[in-house]
Amino acid sequence: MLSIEASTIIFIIINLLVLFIALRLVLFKPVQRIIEQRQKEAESQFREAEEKLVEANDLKAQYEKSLKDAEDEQKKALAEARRSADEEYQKIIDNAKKEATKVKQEATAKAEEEKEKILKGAEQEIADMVVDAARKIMADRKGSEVDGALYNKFLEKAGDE
Amino acid sequence: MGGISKELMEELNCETVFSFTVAGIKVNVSEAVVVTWIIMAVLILVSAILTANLKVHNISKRQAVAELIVTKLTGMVENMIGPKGKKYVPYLTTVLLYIGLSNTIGLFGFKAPTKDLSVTIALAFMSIMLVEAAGIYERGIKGWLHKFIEPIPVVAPINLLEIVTRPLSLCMRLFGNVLGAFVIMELIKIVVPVILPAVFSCYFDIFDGLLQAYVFVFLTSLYISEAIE
Repeated sequence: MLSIEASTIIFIIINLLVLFIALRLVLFKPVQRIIEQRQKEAESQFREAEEKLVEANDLKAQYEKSLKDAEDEQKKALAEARRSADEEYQKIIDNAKKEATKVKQEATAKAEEEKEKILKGAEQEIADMVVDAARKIMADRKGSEVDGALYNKFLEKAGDE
Repeated sequence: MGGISKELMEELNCETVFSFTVAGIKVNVSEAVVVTWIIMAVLILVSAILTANLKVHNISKRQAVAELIVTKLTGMVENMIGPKGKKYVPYLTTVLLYIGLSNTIGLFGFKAPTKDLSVTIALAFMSIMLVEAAGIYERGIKGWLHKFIEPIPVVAPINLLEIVTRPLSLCMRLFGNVLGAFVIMELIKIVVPVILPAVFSCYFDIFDGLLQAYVFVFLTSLYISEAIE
């Protein structure tokens, strides 16, 4: 029981060392290697995911920027269109105004002409009527020679007036 | 009573299983050594089976068990020794497995190797060698020697004495616990042969056996972490 045997001590020490080496070879090392490998893989996956996230964020920013650019472009185009439309409108209005003025002027001119014509016609008519009336009166009293002289005299008078 | 004591002594004695002669010296191979071989064989075989064709993904249940055992045991030892003593963890885990299995192998009808004083002496000797070697390795010979006059030179004799008392206490604690547990169990078996031994066996063989393995490794790692800090 309490006997100490040198051979047992030495054997146990050797056994312990052998057991340690064996367990290290078949148990600790392989399992630790696998766990490390898994950890490495997980880390690399994590890193990859982070990279992807950054990439996605970049893409998002880019997309947002292009969207904003497009919006700006659209606004600009709209403003341009509105401006040109305004210009066109102004032009049309101006044209119409000019046209109206021209038409008005022409109409005025025509009316004036008509008036002139009518006045001249009326003058002629009045002259004829006067001549007629004078001839009727003269025919009753004197000869046809007197008639002609009188008529010319009247005409002269009327022309002076 | 005479019969009982004789029986007990017979159970306690570690017999020589066989002996051979090398270069004129008779070498005895005791029972403890043979049981140690059996323990070694079981440990190595089980580990080999558990760790056969390891994979990173889609692990088998076998591999899960192996990983669980390794990570739990090494994690436990690592907690005791601290991050600096990581390289001593595999040895300490081996010792933990060996002592744990030695203490509980009595349940399978073998004579526990730790009941032999020579075995615990060997274990304690290995521990103190590891402690001092770790101290020299981590701090250099000068640093290791300087450790003896810390915190003040007056305590140097006590520190020197610790080289002897530490392994002695390790060895005697383990041996005493296993022997005491064994003797009490035998006595209980003689007094009450049924039921009661099973209950006490749970405590003495399983709980105390594993606890002593833990204590042995815990103290060794404590000494190592003290030596390398």
